[in-house]
Amino acid sequence: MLRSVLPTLARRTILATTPSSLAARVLTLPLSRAPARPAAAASWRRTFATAPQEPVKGNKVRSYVESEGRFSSLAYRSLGLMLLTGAAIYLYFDIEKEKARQVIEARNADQAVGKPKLGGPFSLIDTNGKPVTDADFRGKFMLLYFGFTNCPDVCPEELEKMATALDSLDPTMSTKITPIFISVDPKRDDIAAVRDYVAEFHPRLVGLTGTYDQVKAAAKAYRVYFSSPPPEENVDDDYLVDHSIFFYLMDPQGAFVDAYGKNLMADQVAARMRARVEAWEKTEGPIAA
Amino acid sequence: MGNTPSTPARAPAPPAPAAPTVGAKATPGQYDAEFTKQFTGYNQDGKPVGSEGQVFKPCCVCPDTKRERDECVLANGEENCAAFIERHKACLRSYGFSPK
Repeated sequence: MLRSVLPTLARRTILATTPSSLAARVLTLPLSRAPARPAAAASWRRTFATAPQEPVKGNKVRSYVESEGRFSSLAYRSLGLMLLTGAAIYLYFDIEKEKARQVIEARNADQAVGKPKLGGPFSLIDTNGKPVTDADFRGKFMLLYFGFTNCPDVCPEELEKMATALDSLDPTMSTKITPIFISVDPKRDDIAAVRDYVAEFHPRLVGLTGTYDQVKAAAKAYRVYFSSPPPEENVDDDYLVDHSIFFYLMDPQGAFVDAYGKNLMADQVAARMRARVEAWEKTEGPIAA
Repeated sequence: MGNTPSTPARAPAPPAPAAPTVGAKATPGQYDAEFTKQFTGYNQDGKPVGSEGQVFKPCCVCPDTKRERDECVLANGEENCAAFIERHKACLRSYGFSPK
């Protein structure tokens, strides 16, 4: 709103306080000197410098005569200019403040949508039967997928996509990312089952499983929905496991970077991973392959 | 999604099923009425089948409710997505599955 009022206001005040050419020149001084916002200053100068030109041209003499009654003394003129300058500066900063607020708001909105709060410690068992935690994977990016080995359709599809994405990257880039499969079906997925399963998809794919509680905690941290029966529930082995399908890219410090859903193709996943790794290396330094 | 204002002053329409919202409470079966029964029975393996004999797969029968649920959980955490979770289960039931 302010922005629309301002030029009108400026034009009107300048017209009222002729000699306007003087007013324009004085007013542009403090604003054109402000180095922080050159673009804004330029637009201001334009407002003040061009607006008064119409009445000045050809009407110069008349304007002087008219003004004589209202601003007879230099003191009045200076006071008027001072007030005008003050008002202009006040409005200028008011607009800048509003702009800054909008930028901050936009940034917050972006974080709320694009960066869910997820990730965190997990404590599981690897395919050699050794306990591992998220800390063991620091120093490289992690590409996490939660699934189960009896998954008939979606998991193989997604894990193949993951393997394709990784292999389409330059090998020096690909080795900066550790692909990890975490089973959400610990009841059926013992260490051997997970070991055989991950070997089918990628030579570097790490398979992890654990107790029901361990898996549940990991899934919760990464905001993975899954439903598989808890151990105390007595069900036959042909139960339905339902889980969300995302790959999570975590940076070398374990912080969440990106999530890739079913809607993305392997080349899109690869391109986004590459961009993330490059961006990280630019600010944090190279990752040992 | 289904929130367009309907024509005014029409006879009271049957209550439209409420689309889930983040943080909404949900009771089992709340969304069942939204989904018409798709399966006609079970084959000899106990898998639900449709009217043309097709065998349904739990992974793939309800992609929309599943995607909505997964995205909600990813963005808000499972504890805030009970309605989305229930709605996907209701959809699975309409295909003859018995999700927990």
